[in-house]
Amino acid sequence: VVASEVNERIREAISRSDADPEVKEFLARMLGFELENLSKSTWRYMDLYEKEIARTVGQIEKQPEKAD
Amino acid sequence: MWIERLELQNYRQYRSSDIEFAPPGKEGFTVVQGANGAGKTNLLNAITWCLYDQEYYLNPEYEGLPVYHVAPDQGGVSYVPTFVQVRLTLIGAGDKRYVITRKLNLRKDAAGKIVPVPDPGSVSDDGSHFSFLRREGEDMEAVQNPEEYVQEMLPSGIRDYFLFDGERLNSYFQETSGKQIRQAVFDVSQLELLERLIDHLHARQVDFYRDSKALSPKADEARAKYAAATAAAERASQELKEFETQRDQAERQERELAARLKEIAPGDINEKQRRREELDVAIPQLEKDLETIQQEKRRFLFSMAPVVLAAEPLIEYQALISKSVESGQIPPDYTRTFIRKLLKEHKCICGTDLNDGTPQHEAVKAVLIGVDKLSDLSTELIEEGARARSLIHEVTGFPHQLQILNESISKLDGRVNENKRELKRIQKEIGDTNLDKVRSLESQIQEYRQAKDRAIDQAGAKRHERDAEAQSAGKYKEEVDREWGKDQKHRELLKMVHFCEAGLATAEEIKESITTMVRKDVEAKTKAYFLDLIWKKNTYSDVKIDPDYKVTVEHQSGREALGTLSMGERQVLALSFVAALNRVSGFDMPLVIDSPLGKISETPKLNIAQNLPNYLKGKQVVLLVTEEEYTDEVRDALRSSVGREWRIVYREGEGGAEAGVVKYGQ
Repeated sequence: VVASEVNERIREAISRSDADPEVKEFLARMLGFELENLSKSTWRYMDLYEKEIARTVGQIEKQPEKAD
Repeated sequence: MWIERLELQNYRQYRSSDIEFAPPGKEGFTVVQGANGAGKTNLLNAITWCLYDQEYYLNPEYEGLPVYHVAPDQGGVSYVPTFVQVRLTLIGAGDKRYVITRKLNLRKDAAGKIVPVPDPGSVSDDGSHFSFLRREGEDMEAVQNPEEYVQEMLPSGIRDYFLFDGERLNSYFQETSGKQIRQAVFDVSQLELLERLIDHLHARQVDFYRDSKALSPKADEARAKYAAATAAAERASQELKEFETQRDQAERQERELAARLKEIAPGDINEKQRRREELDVAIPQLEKDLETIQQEKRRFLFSMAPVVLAAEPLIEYQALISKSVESGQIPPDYTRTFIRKLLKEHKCICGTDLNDGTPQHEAVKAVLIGVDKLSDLSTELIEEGARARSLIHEVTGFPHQLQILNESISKLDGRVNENKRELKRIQKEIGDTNLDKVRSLESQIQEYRQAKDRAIDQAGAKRHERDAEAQSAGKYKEEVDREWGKDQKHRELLKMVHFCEAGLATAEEIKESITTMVRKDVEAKTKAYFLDLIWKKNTYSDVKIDPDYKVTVEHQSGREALGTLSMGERQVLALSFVAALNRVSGFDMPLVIDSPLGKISETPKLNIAQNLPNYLKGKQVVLLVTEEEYTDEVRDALRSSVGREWRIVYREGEGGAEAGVVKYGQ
């Protein structure tokens, strides 16, 4: 879709940012999700945010264990 | 995306028209020429009706009229349409075809009136059926949620930068505020996606806080303090921004007024005026002083003239007296007192008796009489001699005294002349300068300067306040974290909240940087296009979009010129701005411009025709023009860019009007 090309500018800015990789990856993922659901109402996918945040935080939690 | 074809069936004045557009390539422009009212703008409306179920550019004369075609009677037989349909065929990446169709079925009701037959599955306001087909191999497949697909292709929020009425452009910067310009920049940046992400992430963060309330009242209390301090810091930050904006605005106003002042009054006019007033007072005073000293000289000359004229006899007179004194002629050898003493004592110093009646006595008495006379005369002469000496002294000092007076006169006269010359020069320099206007401008400059200083002071105070609140917020945040860390659930929430915070901070930072980047990009392109398109090559020097999204056009002299642009110049500015937005947006959609050259006179028109294709290279451009706009010269200028030319044929009759599209020249 044409809009995804525009969205590329934001994606590039995310990848260039100084944020942690997990945060960057999360933002890029959610941005794609926003693009897909641009015309939908907010409430339809608020649960998804919670799920994705919990999942990402969970992954961060596991990282030190993996290192051990 | 590229429009390959637009088919109209019973749409407004078009009974059946099929427009094939220039294919992608060097000659990507399509021109549709038609008289005013023939139906050019309705081609724009047909596109927006097909895509968005809205006719955004409807002329007032069509408002309230049905969308379907009402043909003029032909020999008493009225044409009754059974449907109205607009179909767009698009070419996308990889030469893929898309067919978008909006169709509204019609029927005659019992009263013979034509009414729409809504499609049962329609989500459109008018009940029309909407379909979006995509070519897959040999087949055409229906796209799911076609309305959403169109929004992704060209969001309705930015359609104004792709499909627009050129004649309305000239009012663009009159009616458009910085907020709207910001929105335009925002729309083309696609930051809506990021904003939605930020909103959603923030909402989740708030939810996490709320969930924690029941678990830790202390945390909640600390959280409340943290929230209050954060809000106060945010408020202070906003107020700080306002003060900074006020400061910048005052500074800008001060600069603009200073430039205007410089234009009407070169140099330090105020200083010159002050000096003129000073000279107006000083010159008469100096002239008065000169007159006084000249009078003094005259008096001096009158008083000295007799003395000077009698100088020679006086010198001789005084010399004679001196000589008489020196020779002992005067005063007499014997004093009267001495002789009287001799007569009284009847004895001369030589021992001779001077008894009364004696000849000796008489002889001495005769001497006394002679001495009396000589003594008075000699005293008088000696005194005269002293006076003569004094007069001679004055005569001797006369040239020097006269020289002093002459020098003073010459000096004063010189100053008078010098001041008069200076006054004349200043008067010439000031010339016809409107001093009232100068003073008014200076007074305004002074006000803005004071306003700027006030804003600087207020901003400084507010900055301290914000920093103090932010510091407090930091302390409360630590307290919140301590409280939350007390149990596992809180710890989990804390991690979620921290994660949201990190995500929000990054998203906000990106939003800010992209907005700035896009603003600067739009600013640079608008400036380049405007300075290229504008026909006054030595009048304007810059176009700016400041951080408040206020658009300014700078005159060569440095003053702000947006308010003084002519209608045609404003149209060129708006055209440049829209072309810049279009270019920066990244949306690969056609640009359809209705009456792009409507308000522009001949020479600028040609300039635009020659330059526009350069800015819109690779873009599909459709120009809907009148005969007056599409002159032979304009046509020649656009020739190498135009791939298709059409002409609208219009017929008006009883009961309706009908338009059709034929190849240009037919």
